[in-house]
Amino acid sequence: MTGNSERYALTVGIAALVVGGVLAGVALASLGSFAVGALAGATFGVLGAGAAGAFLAGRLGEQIDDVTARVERLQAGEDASFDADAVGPVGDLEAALANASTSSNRNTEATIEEFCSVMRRGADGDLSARVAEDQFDDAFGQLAEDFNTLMANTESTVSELQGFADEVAAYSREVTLSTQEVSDGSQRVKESLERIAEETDEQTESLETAYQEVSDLSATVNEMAISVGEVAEIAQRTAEASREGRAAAEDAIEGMEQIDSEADETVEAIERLESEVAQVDELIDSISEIAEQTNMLALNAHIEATRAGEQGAGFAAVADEIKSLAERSKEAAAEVERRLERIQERTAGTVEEVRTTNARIDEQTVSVRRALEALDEIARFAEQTDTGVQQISRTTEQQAESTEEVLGDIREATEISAEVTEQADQVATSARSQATALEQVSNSAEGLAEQTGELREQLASMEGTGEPEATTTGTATPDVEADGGVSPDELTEPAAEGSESAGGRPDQS
Amino acid sequence: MSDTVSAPDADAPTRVELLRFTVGGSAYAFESGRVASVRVDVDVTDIPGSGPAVVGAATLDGETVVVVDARTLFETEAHGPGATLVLDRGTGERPVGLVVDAPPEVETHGVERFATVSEAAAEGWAPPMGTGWFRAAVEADPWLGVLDVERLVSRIDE
Repeated sequence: MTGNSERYALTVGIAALVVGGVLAGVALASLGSFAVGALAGATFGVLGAGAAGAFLAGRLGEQIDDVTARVERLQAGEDASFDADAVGPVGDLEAALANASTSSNRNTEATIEEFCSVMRRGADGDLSARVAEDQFDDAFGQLAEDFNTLMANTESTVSELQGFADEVAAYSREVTLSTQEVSDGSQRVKESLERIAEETDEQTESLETAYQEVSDLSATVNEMAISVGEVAEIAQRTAEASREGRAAAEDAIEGMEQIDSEADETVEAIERLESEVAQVDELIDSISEIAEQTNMLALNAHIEATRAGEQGAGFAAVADEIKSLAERSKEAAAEVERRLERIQERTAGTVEEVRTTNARIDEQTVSVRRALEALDEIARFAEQTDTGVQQISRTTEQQAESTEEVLGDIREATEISAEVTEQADQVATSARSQATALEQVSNSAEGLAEQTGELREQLASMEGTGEPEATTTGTATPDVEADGGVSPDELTEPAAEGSESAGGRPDQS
Repeated sequence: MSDTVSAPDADAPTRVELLRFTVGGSAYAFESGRVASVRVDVDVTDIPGSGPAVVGAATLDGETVVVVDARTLFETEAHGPGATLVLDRGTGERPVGLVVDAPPEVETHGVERFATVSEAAAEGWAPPMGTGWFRAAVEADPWLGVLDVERLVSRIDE
């Protein structure tokens, strides 16, 4: 009788210990969502709730053992007394025994035997065993009723403990699985973080390379800005030279137009000279013809004088003189004509040269006008070039500023990347630590599961075999709390509260 | 020098005046007394049935003159604007106009330079149309043949 009570008390204590600890751990784990916290909470809950359960179960067991020992002494013929004023579930039993001790011996022994039989069955784990209440008088009837109430409450408590143990086992399995999943996830997180760290290192190197390239680009942009400035200066000088060239071309055109006008006047003068020379040539021709005719007259006069003989000698001399003068006049006219011809040739050549020069001047004027137009276009293009270069210069400056900003951004990104790398390394280290802690949690959960298994086996042995006997009645729970006793529900309250606070099963996420 | 030329006497002139002209580029001469006048731009009227050398008939100083082209007569080509020498035949016959290359030039030569045709031919003078046309020749370089008007006219008739 004593061993069964101790085992019952131990069972209740362990159950309370396990259920309370697990539910407290689950509660803490769900609140913290962190395996280490769950482990610490579980451990703390197990210790606290287990201690309370063990204390209450031990106390109840001691009371039951005490009553049982006194009943056994009475059965052995030894003196034993019961406190009729005892309180609590066991106190009610003891009071009933005290009342029963005053009844008849015949019925007392049989009744006690009946009670002992039922209690032995209960101690053997058959918590469904009950005493037939209606076969006893008022005292034993009350005792049977209270006893049956005690057994019913105990059976209910053990049943609830069995349920809680099952749930603890399920939770333990789920915790184990969840811990494994978390561990796997943590491992993946660690690997991901390591990859992130590696990629961040590569990104840092890429950023450094990009920084170098952008630095080179910045230098190139600066050089281009200098070149653009030189181009702008050249374009401005080109525009200025074009304007000067245009002014010179306009002067040249004006001069050539003046030369052309003067050449036209020269040609006109020479043409007038040619006309006058032609008139002189006609006069010379007339003079030559007159000289020819004079020569003929002189010749005939000479002939006539010669034919006149001595009388014509003087006339012949005059005729010869006239003929001589006529020939000289003719020769002079011929010489004048030759000179006039040379003058005509020279004036004609001069006119031709002047006209050729004039034509060349006209051509040159056209060429200069084209050059002028080309200079205008050059000036326009130079101005457009200058405008474009100014735009390029502004764009280049903006590009340089943007490049500097990009450089700053890259520097900042490089620093951030380095920080990310460092943080990733730190997180990876933390993930490794977390994996280790989770492994410990998993081990603890597995240990808890093993212990829960043992608890279930023990509770199963206390469940007994079968349903309550048909002769037993009364499953109503006596109001033992009013007597200052401990209600079986209170034994499961920490676990119930832990379960409610956890919202049922632990969060597997 | 020539028997065809009047023999010099005390009163004879020592120099002879000639009218020098060209026909087909070759120089010829007439004694100045054989040329009545020199004309240019003579209006000529064709004479039907006349010889090839006869240019035509022209009226000069009131007389009708037969004009003959010496270049055709000498079978040569013209070398000038042309001039007509009115030849005085000295026999009361009608003058003859002879077309030459250009108006003649008056020149005088000493009588000692004149030679007969045979003397000149003996000296090497050889005119293209032969020596039968000439009265004498003047020694010069080349020789200058002096044409005989009557022999010339007789050739026209031939």
